[in-house]
Amino acid sequence: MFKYVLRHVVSSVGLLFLSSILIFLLMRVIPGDPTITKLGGTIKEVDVETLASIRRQLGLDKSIPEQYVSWIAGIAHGDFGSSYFSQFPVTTLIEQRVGATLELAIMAMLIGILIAVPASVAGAIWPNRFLDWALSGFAAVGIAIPTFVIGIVLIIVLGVELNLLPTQGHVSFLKDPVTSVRTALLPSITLGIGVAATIMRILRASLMEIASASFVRTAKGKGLLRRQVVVRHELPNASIPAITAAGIIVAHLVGGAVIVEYVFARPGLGSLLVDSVFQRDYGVLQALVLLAAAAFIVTSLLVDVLLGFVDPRLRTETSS
Amino acid sequence: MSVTKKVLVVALLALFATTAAATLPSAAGSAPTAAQRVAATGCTSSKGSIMYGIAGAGVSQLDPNTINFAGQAPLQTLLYNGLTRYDRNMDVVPDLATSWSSSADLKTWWFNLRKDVKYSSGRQFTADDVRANILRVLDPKVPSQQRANAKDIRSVRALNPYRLRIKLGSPSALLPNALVDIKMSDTSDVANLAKSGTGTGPYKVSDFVPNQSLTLVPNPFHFGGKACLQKIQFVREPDPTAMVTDFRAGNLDMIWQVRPTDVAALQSGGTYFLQPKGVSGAHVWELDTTSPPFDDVRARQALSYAIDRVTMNKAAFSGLATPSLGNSLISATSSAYNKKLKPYTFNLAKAKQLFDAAGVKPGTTFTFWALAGRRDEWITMAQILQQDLEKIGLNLSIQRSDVSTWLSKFFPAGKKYPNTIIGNYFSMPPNPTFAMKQGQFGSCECNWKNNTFELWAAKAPGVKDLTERQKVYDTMQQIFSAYAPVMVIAHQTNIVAVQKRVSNAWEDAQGNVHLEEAKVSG
Repeated sequence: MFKYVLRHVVSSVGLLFLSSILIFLLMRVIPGDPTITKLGGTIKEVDVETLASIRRQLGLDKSIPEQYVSWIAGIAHGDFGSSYFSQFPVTTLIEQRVGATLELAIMAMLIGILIAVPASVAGAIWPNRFLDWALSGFAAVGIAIPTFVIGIVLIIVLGVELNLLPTQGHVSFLKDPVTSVRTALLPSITLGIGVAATIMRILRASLMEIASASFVRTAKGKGLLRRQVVVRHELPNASIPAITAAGIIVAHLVGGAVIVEYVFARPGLGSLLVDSVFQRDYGVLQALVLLAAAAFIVTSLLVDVLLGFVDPRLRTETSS
Repeated sequence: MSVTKKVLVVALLALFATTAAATLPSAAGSAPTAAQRVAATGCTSSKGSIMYGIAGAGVSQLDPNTINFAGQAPLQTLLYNGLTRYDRNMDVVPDLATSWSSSADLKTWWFNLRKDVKYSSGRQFTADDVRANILRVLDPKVPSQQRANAKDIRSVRALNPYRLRIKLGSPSALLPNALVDIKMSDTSDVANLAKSGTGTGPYKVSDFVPNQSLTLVPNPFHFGGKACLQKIQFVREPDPTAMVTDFRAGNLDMIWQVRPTDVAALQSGGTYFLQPKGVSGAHVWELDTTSPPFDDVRARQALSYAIDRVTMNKAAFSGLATPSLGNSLISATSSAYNKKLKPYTFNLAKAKQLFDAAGVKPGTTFTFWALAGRRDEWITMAQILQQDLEKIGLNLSIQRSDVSTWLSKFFPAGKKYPNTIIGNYFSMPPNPTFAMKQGQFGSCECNWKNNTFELWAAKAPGVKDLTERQKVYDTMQQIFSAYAPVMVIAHQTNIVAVQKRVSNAWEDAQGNVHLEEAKVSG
């Protein structure tokens, strides 16, 4: 088991390192220049000296390999650099916003699971009925409709027309839990619908496949109720593909958070990422993309390790 | 004398005093009136709060002398002061300076400072701070837009903690105007200025999440009365539609840069709009006058004739802008506008004739380069031009991009962008001398250089007599209009919608919102 985990950790670190190079190079390839953006078009009579000075201040006067080495060396020492614009250290910017994103991700995940698991189970208990079709339809629509459309519809209906929930902002859970949950509810539902649809599709397919397995037939033969067969025997086994898909769901949450936070003016990491792209705030952007890559890689690693524990066959296959 | 008569006499005297103070020539120096001494707020207690929405972009940093986003202009007077400031009539009046005077040749200026000013950190403000701020603005390594109007300053000397001498390289009657925008930040901690926002204004920073939200609370050390509000919160809205939606839902008290097309929908329920006295900002289309085809003045004039400014005003600005038929940097509503300018009346036949003469062949495609997610009115204008150009056998490709890509095409001045029309907004200072700097070589991204225009531009600040100065403005406008280095489409300010509970906010001619005296009811 130790070797199994070690192998996955080493490959994850390698993957993260490759991601860092890719992120760094991509930032330099896209058009735009933070030096120019910093001047904003409003500062007139910009001479060569001013431009050179700003480039020096931002460390952009060095060659690209030098910039990369300096960035990586900084990270190794826990220094992710500072924003070219606000001058805040990247770690402070992340610290300011990570709470809003975590809260959104956790609530969206909970909403997703709370919708997907009962709905998939209900579909398995009463297959090929109206409820099953309706739930399958929900899963298809939930995946097909872009997140921002769901967000805008919820803002208009629940926020503006019915005035039930706030449509923007964020309050720290530690300061005011009730307002915090209220402000997070609309964006969480928006993101949670996509999560629910993804889990439902995987879980539903897995439950259908397992329904014809021999142990299920045995359980039925013992005279258990359909509900008991699904919940006690089918669901635990069908969950393995859903756990495997955790990486996909995390990716969905990260990608979705970018859009949802933007639509709901939520000060999270997603909106920070969007701003850093628009401003070409390389330091912030690189750190955030690296963080997202790390989140994805760590989740995949945890899933692999978890599956190794759940399914001993995987450990054996890897060892051989 | 009856009580009524006494009240009338006092009122008349007060009116006279106010008018006299406002009309004093700036170069003669001015002693502050009692009203000016409590200039900043006029409030005795802080009550209520305001939520102020900005669409599309947020406040990225707080250094007032390197500001690059017009949306954060209210901070310039909430957190900071200058030596001078504009009042609601756009007259230059004392701020941290109590009075000023100049030598007869207008090359040396003396400023007396207030003695009761402290930064929000509690540190005393003195003439050394003024010197440090001005020198910082003049430092070429510091990206400051204020430098353009103050670059003729040769030396700044603190004669004592509250008196200052400034020497200029050439005469200028407009130094007090130029100093309005140089804000007196706390330069003892420049490294943290972008984050701390330490100034002398009525408010100080309580919480700042860059590009997202900024919360201001009263500055206990403010010299000019208490801040009127307990809290002002600036929030960034994802886009203009979301901003209007949130305003209508009552989540926001004020919204900045409302699209003209949204005005009608907002005109209900007591919402009102700030009405600036005069407008100096303009929507313009920039051209590279050093690349084909717009290096030929005939091509530029042709384009100017092909622009249907009146229809564009109706369609893009709901008729709220002032079309610039004379293609002038000065608004047609301004007293400095040259009424003798020959108008570029929409005329496609003339446009075609001039395009042909300039060698622009039928089938040529121009590119219209605009911002994505903001300034939808530019796209409306471009679509009108697109249809009109088609009628004379020319094409227009409309392209939108994010702010960094958009800027990298044409900024800073000196870049080549052939065949391209850049949609832009010139947030011009109200003083025509400074406004016309936008046409000068090195400043204008149009890369236009006209020696006569440059000479007049250099001469303008030193002309003390207003009639003589107007003649300079007339000549400069004449040259600019004839050579058409920039297509001035229409003068229009930023539209600011306000909930009825908010009072005393105002907008200056440049489109900057002033909240330093704003109050709320209920």
